[in-house]
Amino acid sequence: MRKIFIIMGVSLFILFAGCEKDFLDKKPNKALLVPTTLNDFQALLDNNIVFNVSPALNIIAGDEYTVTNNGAGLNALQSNTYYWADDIYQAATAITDWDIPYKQIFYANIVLDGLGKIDRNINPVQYDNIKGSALFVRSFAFYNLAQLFAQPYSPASANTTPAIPMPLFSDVNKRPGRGNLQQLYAQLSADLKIAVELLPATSQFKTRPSKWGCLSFLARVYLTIQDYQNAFEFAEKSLAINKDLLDYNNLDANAANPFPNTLPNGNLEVSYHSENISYAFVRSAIVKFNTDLTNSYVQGDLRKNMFFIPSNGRFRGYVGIANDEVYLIRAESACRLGKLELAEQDLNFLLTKRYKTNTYVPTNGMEQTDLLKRILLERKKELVARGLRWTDLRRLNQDPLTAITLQRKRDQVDILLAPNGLKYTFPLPNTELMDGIEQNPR
Amino acid sequence: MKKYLNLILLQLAFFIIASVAFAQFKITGKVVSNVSNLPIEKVSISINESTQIVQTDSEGKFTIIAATNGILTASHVGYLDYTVSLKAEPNAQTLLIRLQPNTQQLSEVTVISTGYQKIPKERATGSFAQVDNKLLNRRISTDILSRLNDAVPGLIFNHESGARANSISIRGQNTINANDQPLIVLDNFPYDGDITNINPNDVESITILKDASAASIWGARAGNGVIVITTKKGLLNQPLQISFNSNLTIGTKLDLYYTPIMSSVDYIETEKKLFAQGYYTTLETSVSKQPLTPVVELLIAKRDGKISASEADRQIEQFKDFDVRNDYNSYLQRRSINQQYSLNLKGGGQFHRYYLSSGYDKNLSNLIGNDFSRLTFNLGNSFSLINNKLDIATNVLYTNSRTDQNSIGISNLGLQGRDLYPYAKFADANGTPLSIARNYRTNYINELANNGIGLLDWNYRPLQELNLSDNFSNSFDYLINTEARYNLIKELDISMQYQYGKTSSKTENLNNADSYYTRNLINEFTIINPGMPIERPIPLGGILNYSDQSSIRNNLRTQLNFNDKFGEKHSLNALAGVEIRDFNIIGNSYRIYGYDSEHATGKAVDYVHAYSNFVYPQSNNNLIPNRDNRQELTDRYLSYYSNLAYTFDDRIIISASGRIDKSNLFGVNSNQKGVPLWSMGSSWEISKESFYNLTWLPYLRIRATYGYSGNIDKTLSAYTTAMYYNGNDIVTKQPYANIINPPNPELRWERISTTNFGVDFKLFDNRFGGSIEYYAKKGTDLIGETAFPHYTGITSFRGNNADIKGNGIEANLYTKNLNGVFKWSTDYLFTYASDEVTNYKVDGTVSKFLTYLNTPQVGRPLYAIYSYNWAGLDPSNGNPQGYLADGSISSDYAKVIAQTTASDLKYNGRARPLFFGAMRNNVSWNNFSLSVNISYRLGYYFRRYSVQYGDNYGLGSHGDYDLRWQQPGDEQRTQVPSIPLTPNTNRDSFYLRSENLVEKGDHIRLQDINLSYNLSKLGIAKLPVRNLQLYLYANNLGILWKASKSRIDPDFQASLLPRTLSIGVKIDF
Repeated sequence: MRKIFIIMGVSLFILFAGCEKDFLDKKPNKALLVPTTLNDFQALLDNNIVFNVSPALNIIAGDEYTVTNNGAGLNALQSNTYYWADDIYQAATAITDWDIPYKQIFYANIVLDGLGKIDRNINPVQYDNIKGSALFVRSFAFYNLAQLFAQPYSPASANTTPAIPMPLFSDVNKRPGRGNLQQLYAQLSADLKIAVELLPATSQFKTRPSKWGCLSFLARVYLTIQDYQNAFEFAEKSLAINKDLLDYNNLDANAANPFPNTLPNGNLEVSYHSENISYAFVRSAIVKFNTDLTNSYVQGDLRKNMFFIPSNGRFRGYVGIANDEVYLIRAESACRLGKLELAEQDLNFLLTKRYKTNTYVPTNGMEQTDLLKRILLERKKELVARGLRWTDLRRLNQDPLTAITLQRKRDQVDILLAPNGLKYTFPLPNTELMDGIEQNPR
Repeated sequence: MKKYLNLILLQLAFFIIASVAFAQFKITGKVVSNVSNLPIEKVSISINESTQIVQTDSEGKFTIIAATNGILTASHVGYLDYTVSLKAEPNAQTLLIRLQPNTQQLSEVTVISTGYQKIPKERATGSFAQVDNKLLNRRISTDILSRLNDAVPGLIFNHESGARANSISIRGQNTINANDQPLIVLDNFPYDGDITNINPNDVESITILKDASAASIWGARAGNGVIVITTKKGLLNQPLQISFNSNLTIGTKLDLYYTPIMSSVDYIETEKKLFAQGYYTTLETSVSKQPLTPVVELLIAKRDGKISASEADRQIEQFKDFDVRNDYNSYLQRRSINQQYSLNLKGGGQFHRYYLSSGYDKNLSNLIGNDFSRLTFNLGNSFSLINNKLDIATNVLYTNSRTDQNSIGISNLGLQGRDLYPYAKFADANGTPLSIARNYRTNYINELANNGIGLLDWNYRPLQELNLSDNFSNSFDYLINTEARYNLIKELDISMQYQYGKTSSKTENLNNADSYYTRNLINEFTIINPGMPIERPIPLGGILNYSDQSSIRNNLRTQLNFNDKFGEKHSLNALAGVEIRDFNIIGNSYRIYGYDSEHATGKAVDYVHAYSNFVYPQSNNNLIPNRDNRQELTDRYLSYYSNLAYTFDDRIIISASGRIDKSNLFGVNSNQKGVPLWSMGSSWEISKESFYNLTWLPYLRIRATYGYSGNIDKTLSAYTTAMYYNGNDIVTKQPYANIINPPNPELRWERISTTNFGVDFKLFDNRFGGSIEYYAKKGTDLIGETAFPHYTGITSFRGNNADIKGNGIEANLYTKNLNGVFKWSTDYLFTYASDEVTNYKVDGTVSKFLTYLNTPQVGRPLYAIYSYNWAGLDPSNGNPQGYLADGSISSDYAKVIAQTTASDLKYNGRARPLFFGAMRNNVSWNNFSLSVNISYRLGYYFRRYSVQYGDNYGLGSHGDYDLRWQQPGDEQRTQVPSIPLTPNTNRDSFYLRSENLVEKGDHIRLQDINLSYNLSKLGIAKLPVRNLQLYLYANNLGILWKASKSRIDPDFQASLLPRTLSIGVKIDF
């Protein structure tokens, strides 16, 4: 009897100690999943409340909108942004334009860290798709942040200009510094090029990244850093996958929404869907589109009535990454690289789809500077409210030929934003200024 | 299931037969003093150190049943124990026992249980409080926990606004975000079932473990203290004893007039005023056909000329006489009646003992339609085998309870988010149920009915609803304990314990086909197109909500126990063990539409497509509510523990304990480190020293302990956790997930250190005695928030980074005031419990301080009341006034609120009592005994409610409306602001959160009285039973004194506990 007890007791001790790890690895709550499987990671990336959202303060700060009535009734953040105030955020502690992209980065990092613990051979296709997607969405977020919170990219000073905090891991206790813009874009382009290899040519839903969208985005990134050769090449590669454009002649401007719904898979032009953060600014009765912009559409241009709801002038186009942008990138890059014929070809191809049939007069043999100016004008008119204008201003202002001064009026006082002004860079939110992170000059 | 029942019954039958079969014989004897030769009364006689004890009568005589080869022990306070071996002969024996007085030993032996061992209280160094069976049974209740009220110092039931029912703190609260309730241990293992499942009649005693030395053996879950419940067991060598206990408790109706509300007259006058100002135009013209009160409907009809002005006014005047609370009292309330029956059998032979009980409770709540019933069975058996070397015990507890929840709460009778009008009527003069306005306008509903388009009746008649819903939950709870203990060698035991517990409960909520809920939902989804048949996406029939939950608990423990004496003076008690615990919950819920209870069938609905609301098709995105859900939770623990006590000469004790907890709730790093929670303690019985000669203080013992216990926050996870959305993304139809918790490999339990000093004493012939303790606690590594830079992906981080400290004094004293025929004794409980947040990384905002009582602020108690500084009413217009940042008095409430920072707020004081306790006087005379309990709580504050004018002049708000400022000079008599000229929500927020409404909570309460009449066979030979007790018990008697002039009971601000009166009988056969 005694022996039996001793044996039982000892074996129980051994049993407890032996199975300790398995026993304690059990998940406390099944709904609170610890993301470990490919499906878990896909579910995280499919959260389109977190992903598929882009900053929008840059749209408010840009030159597409005009505020009347001195901005009375606008919320402080939006009013301060529009008037380029010194202290934009005041006491605000959550700046969505900052927080949302960093949340995207956090999710992507969790996925990327988690993928490191999974054997790719289980399902190579899904694995690659998820890895490519995570790299894409992370790069997309870094890029968006840099357009607001880092100074404009200039090839001459990129290696000394502070970038933004760039976490490449999911450990929230680590504190990456700001790095510089050259590092940032090197990381972006490298990650995106990996993603290109991993992603499927097109995706099942426009909320998911694809090779097509990734190549288009690479073209955008290279355009931003004024690497026109690469911008041209990636635009080419993107259009090689899909070169579709909507023909606005086939759309009904009188419909509630003339454009086919992007989601889940409607708009053939859009390669990646991303909505602007929704600010009341764009729905306010005292906010109108800049008349310079709305007046720039000439007779026969279908876009005016498509983009701007006739009754109230509000915008209703599509957002995200679309082929019209890629055509314009290829056209601009080609023009800058001296391939004027190619540039004209793209411009004319795009505009034929935007003008009432037989009203568009194609350009022919324009001189380089004029052609560039024309392409840039069409870029402004075509990519309304896509969040690209601010980036364009920051880039084009570096060349005196294309530089412009922005102007506001408040209480009869003119407020100016000169080319390359410090206010082209948003300050970092107050919550971020710890652990050696420095504020942007303003 | 049936198989198990058969097994249990078979087992039961076997054990009873077995116990009768063992040889037994009767021993009689007499005990006298060795010095005086006089007989000694109340000497305890036991055999084989078993728990069966008989006592000598006034002539020193006793009779006991014994088995062969037993050792008989006679013991009495003040005498040395006497033992004798019984001869192995079946004949009756007569013994004469002489006891030697022991002048040093005067104490009674109380055995406390930690869940791991049972030790005499004298040998414990830590802070234990024992609630014995007598004290437990002083109160009458359905549940066991409420019997701890006023039973031990340091333990308090929290009643601050927002406190959960039965929220208990032992020695204050030592956590901010984690679990704040003590660990409940039932028969050696943590009990995670529903505590109301335990029948108090089965409980023998409760031990409260308060300091680290007492509790640290429970490790990471002991930080809030431990409540150890021990159920009754049979005794060896005891003939069958049967006890029956029954009582009936009657309670008053809920006092609906406790919180004053605006009178019907004022309500109607305010409605008229609002109507004249067009306040109801929006509601009247709303596309969603918002419901309106009868008076407003009459006013509309009058305006539109649909009814004559005089007739409208006449009808409106009539409403002024109604008070819906009267109807509520007569139709929806009753006196509560609680019945309790309990029967138990216990006994044992030489090798076997058993305890068998059954209990039944039936409670009819004071809300008609709410009932509770509970059936409990308890079956315990234990055997001593192989020359008492092997003990095997099994115990089965079974509970089945049913809760019915069909009452119509008065707060549920609102109009689309607005309160019910006070002049509503539930029935006409003949008692016929009347309808009241609910979701849509009465006129609109009537119009639809007249159109005869096929909708279901849309009227809401509260009285009818009582019978149209069937909401109940049913809970089954099993607890099976098995224990084997084997004596390896003389000093060393090994024991194995296994406990299996299962609670399965189901809740059914059937909205009958005719119930308003069902009719309303069906109607709202109904589609009627001209010329087309009526279409009902929600089918006709009832709507059944079902949910079930089953929790399964597995505990396995192996423990070595070592007890030895070295030489004359040294003894060592040690134990070490390992235990694993697995706690698993699975929950499911679903809903069946078109339910036919006759045949238990339902009909399918389309959860995917969106429908338009019948009343206002503009709302076109309504999905049929889907209640399908499933949940699975698992807690796992693996723990190693040890406890050691060294005793020198029965005078000095040194104790130590340690425990390592690992859990699937902790981070990987924390599990790997295996940091133990530990304690050390020591006690010194000074009165046993040779130099000690204070005869007036015959017993004096001092104790000191220090150590750590832990606490767990189950809402956190060490892993990156995400939550799947139950339901697909609208556009892509793909499942998606959210990250809700960043990874935290360092996540660990909270640590609470306690230093405890205690002194136990008895004076003047044991006429006065008790214990006094001082403690200091420090909670470190508490779960708190830290702000993180948002670029990490999160905005704040919950981790082990907050600290709190507390200290207190507890006294548990008794005096024996009179000791003759008329006996009078008093028990005093006193507690001082203070706490302070010492480290918190996130500053609270003004609105948090004013809204949540437990917003941490460094340097302040965790539960505190803050308010706006109050500058009185403006004498010219009765506006409340506050202060601006520059100190000036202002009625610009937006500015006052905006300029008040967290540090400008007035700190009124604690929201939980700093001092509390009770005084219990016990008087007995002949067969009567009376016990009166007076409790007190001091040193805290509460915020009372008052009128909120909102945008409708305080329509339907608090009754302080009556006391409002109305003309200059009123500010002398009232602090209730005037009706504002224009609605101003800031004015309301300022007033309702001002110091003017903060009151002192200090009060003294006559809690309860117990009167009993006892008859015993010892006194009356003719009595057909051994003992007979008749008792009366009155509870919640009322407040004797309070500091605040407000009529609010500081501990029951929302509603008073009804007074109850119980009558009962207890019979021992």
